[in-house]
Amino acid sequence: MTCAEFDQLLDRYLDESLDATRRAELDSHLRGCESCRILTAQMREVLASAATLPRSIRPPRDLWPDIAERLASRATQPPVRSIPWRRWAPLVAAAVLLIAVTAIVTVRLSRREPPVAVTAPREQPHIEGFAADREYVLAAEDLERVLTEGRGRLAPATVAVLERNLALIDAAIVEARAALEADPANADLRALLWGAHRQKLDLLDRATRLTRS
Amino acid sequence: MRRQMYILAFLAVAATGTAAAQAPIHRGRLIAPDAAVRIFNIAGTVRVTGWDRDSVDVTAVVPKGAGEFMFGGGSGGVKMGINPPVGEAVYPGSLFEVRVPTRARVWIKTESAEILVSGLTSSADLSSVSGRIVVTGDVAQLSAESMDGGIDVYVNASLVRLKSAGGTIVLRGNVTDASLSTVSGAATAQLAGLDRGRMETVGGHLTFEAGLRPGGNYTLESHSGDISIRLPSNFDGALDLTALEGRVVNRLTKSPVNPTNQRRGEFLATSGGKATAELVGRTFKGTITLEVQTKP
Repeated sequence: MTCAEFDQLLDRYLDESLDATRRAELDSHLRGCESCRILTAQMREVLASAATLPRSIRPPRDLWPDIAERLASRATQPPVRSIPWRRWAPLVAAAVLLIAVTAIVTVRLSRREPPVAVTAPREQPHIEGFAADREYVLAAEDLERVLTEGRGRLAPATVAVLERNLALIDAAIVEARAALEADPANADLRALLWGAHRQKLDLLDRATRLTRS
Repeated sequence: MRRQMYILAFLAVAATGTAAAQAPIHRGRLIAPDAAVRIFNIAGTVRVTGWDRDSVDVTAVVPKGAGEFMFGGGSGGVKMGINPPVGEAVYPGSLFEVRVPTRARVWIKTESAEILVSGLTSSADLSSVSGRIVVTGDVAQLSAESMDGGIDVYVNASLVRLKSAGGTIVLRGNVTDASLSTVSGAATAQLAGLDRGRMETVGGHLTFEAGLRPGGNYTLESHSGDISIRLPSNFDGALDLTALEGRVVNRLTKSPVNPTNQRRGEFLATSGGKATAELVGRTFKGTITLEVQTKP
């Protein structure tokens, strides 16, 4: 008998509803299989514990009056659906924005079309780079808002690490942005600036995930 | 159905049972060879080892005050971990010694607990806030991230993703596709072979030492951190190294280092053979050093 076959018959074995031949086969398997012995012992433990549980549990007080009152007050209010996703709306928005920013930046960086005529020619060399820059900043701001709400759930040491590294990234973004303003056609500078932005978004995303765990 | 009820009841009993005891807790059960194993711990150590059995086995040492140990699941997957005591800021460390089928898909999450993984062949997804992460073996896909803990990996793998903010990352072995990312921590890739690689940092030091493969593609980026690139003297690859406001030091080839056009930096560009590898290194104000690999 294999362990899988034993596993399938374990319920009936514990219920003592197997015929003698089958039961002997399982007994034989148990003698030679430590993991099945452990499993069987655990299941017996569960059954024994379950047997000691009360058949029913009365609530400490009658809850129905409170429930009825809430239902009644809700009935007098304008119908508002219970929308659990509202709690997650900021995160969802941030995720959507992050995806959108990534897509926009990728498309823009991969385009090699002539510049589109705009009404402010003086800013034309800047428009491609700095539009993406602004979008990264907006995405980071959204994540920072979510992080601020959950910051109290992080250990002080983690907050210190987070702040130190975010400050390093912010300083890098400021430096790279200033250099890009002076040299807007520099592809290496753009790559470094987008890289710093991505690092910031990634770190913020990881930190917000920590606040939820 | 009845078995599920047993399991639920067992979990309930386990959650309120003997977890506070300091004596080792031992649990085990049969699982599928490729089952999912999820482990969470706060402080202490989680050690996971792959073995050639279709079962999971855990021995946990949970000191008083560390929380409650829980273990449950079915043949398709198990979950184990510590439910921390409410209202406590500091917990004693718990030790988990876990054995899983080599093909199990393992997920581990901790706060300060270190994570030690070996002998897995499928996938591992590891996350710690400040604990060290150490992985060895032939795991196919590995993802490990930490906020401040070090990550030390020695694997033969197809896909490796390692991230840390302030911790140090070291990757050794043989990998098809690797990505290492830090903010201020140092990152080192020392690989016998690598098809595609990306290393990025803001202020950490990057060290890249790998056998370049034909058609391989490698990108190394830093803002202020230095980048060390060590290649065999007979390497076949096109190099494109730029330090926008830093320096490029070439101790490997006879190719000249040139000043950049508009900025105060330097660059080095070389071309390779027909099916050559491409390596791009760029930094804003760090130094890129190209050196001969001292050992294979």
